Amino acid sequence: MEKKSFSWKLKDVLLIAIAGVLFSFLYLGTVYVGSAISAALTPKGLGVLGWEPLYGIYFMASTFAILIIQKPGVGIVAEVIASVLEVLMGNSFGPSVILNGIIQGLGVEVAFAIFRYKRFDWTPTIISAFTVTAASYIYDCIAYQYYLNPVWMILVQILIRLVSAIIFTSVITKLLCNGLAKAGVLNAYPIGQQAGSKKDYEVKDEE
Amino acid sequence: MIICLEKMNPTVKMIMVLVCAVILGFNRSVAVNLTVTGICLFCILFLTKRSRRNFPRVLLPILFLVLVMFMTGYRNGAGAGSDAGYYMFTAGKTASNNPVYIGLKMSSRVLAYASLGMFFTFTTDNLDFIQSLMQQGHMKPKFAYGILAAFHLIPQIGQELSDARLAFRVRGIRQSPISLKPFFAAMVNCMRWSETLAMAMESKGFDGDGQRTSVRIMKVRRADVILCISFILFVLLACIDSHFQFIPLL
Repeated sequence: MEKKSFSWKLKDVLLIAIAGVLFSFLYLGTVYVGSAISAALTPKGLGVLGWEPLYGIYFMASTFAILIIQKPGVGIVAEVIASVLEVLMGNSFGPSVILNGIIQGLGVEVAFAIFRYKRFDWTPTIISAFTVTAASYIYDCIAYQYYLNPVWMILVQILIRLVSAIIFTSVITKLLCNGLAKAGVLNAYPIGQQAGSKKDYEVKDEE
Repeated sequence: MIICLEKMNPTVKMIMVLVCAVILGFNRSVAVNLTVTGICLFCILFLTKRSRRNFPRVLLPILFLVLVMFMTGYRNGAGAGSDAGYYMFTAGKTASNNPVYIGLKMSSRVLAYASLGMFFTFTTDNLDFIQSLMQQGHMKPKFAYGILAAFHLIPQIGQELSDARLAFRVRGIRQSPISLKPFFAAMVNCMRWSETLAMAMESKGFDGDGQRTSVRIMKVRRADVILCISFILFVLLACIDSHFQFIPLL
């Protein structure tokens, strides 16, 4: 019954797209710090590490969509929506970001697919940080030839990206979704209904 | 006759850029990367009538990224020749262990990707792109117009976020630019917008799934397909030639 494919409504698309824009603002707030770190590390040849702490923000749209809508495939579609928006905003890498988005969305989806889309609690959310880090790094490794770097640098890059993904993609996104559900703005979605049903139980307990 | 690349169908152009980016992902030649960069920059500078006012502003961060990648390869790449990963991915063909060469290899790849991206961005109108995704890419109108609505809301969303920050400052609560409290407050309002905006669009008769007529009719011309296939073939053959050196050009 739950496995029925999800049909997107206009308000779902708008929700994900507007959230994607907000996440991009969060990214813009941090990108200057990332660039400054990168500039400081460039003479030592470690400049690529400067942006690694921001990678978790890139992946947020996908986890956000899955946690709210809780259906298969929404993670990939959400990333595609966010990346098409990036192209419209004039991203220098153009349509290549769509390819990047699909891979990142797939990385997040895997974690929830492991639990057959039945669990949307902390466990798959934290696992998604690991799977999305793996997927995005494999892509970047091939695209940007990170394999030419020494092994220690590859490991440091993966570690920073993983920590960033755990903080932003898993913890902050999960807390954000829970907060929005409690605020009552997601009542039309599974996550909002779950938050609402908990309140009903609490009322019954009190009775 | 001047070829105007903005007239090329955006979906065909997107496919061309994506396929070329995938091919370049397996390319190891600096010369091929620089050739693709040269062609793309030539197209941006001479084969489009669209405004290039933003070009230096977009190019500057790219050049910084190119420098970062060059230094990464230059400082670390020389030692990478002894790494198992290096041999595995280059199939033992260590063309050169010269740090400058490895730096160029890494930086020219980024430059080629960015040039392909800029080629698309600077020769494509946003509305044409979305219309083409709908007409040729069979994207449903609810996705296309949903994305467009969010895109046009960007200034309001930014204003909402700065209002939320101001509200915290007024109450004497200091917030850093990446603080999540105003972000959350803005998000609550934006979530409400998404619902009311969807309601507004639907109440005006917007059908997210139905077939639509359009003022802008996007067509795929024969010249678009020829240009797309020719460019992909050129990049593919250049990559193959640089690898096997049938004709020692690249």
